[in-house]
Amino acid sequence: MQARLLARCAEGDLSAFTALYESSAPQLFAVLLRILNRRDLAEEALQDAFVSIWRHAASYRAQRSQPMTWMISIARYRAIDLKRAQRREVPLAAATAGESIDSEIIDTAADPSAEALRAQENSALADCMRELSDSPRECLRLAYLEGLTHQEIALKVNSPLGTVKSWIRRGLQALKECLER
Amino acid sequence: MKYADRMMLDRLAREYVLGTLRGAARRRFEGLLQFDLTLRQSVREWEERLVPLALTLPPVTPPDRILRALNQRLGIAARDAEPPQTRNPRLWPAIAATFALLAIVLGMALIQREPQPLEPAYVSIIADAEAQPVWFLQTYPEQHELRVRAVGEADAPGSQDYELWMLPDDKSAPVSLGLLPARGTARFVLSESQLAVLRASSTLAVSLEPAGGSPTGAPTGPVVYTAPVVRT
Repeated sequence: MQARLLARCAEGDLSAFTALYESSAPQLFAVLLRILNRRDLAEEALQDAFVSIWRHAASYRAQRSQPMTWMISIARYRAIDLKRAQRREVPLAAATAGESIDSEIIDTAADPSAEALRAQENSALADCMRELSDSPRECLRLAYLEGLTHQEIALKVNSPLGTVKSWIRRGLQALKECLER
Repeated sequence: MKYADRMMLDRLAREYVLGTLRGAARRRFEGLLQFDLTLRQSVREWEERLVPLALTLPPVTPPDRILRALNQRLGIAARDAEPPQTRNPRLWPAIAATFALLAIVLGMALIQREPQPLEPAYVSIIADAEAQPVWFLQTYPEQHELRVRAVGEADAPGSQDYELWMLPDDKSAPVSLGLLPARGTARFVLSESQLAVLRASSTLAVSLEPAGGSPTGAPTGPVVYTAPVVRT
């Protein structure tokens, strides 16, 4: 259904865009809030992501990726770029000091669709994540969900940079092999 | 390409998707992606593998203003895509002639009433107090398109914008069509519901709004122009 909406967006149909937005923006917004950790930046990134989705709708190919995968990727890459620009403005010490995730951000969360959530927790990826040992799993989550760099992860898990890099490298390889089984 | 190089590229692809490939390396990788189909495929596979993690986050409803701002931004985007209108004063006679031609075409459209593929169903001329046209509007319902041409230069005072509204005949609340261009042409993509309102409206209005358009979705500033909707 979202694939059909994307096809109509490619033809310039703004009402299809609205429907697409309504069906996917809450999930994208959750991803952006988690990476950017600031409501204003997440709103900016959400707008940018949907402008990009609208402009590139014609290049979306249903046989190549799921619509949500395609849209979440656009949003995540935008957030990673914004976060990088942000880091250059704010000295690192201040950035890590402001790490208290606004509890308000979490509180305003809409009711998660419990079934969808359970389905994802039962995904093949979730099974494979469980097979990893604690440290690599934590590093992968911090990188993918929080958008942290190798250095930031090393600080957070209190381990040497080289160790973190190899946990991530081996963790990804293990996931790939597990998912191909 | 050598197998070892492929392996190395796949390692970059996974760290690109994960987000840990940063800085200049990330930019270089994006450059490679433009030309390397296999690499793009590998990125897509990693996106698909990891996306279930993103889907475990509970959805958060964004504020309504985001969708409103997006509709404004995308309504205006069509205007940005138009070739830039020159402001050379020597072209004024040409612009006047263009308008005279448009007036003739409009007159013919009104007389002929023959179904032609590119004939607007609705036209409006928004004119100032001296009856000088400011904007010329044509709606093509088949194409879901409203084309607006600023006849001269119509800059709103200060950092404000002119916003176009439909005033439904049943006196229900005005419905926005978008921000009017100060010069040149703009194309608005009309939704089915906007078209339905347009069919039930005989008057358009232009209000003066803060930059980016009314923050509330209803006119907040003074109505500076009104114009009838002429059905062709």
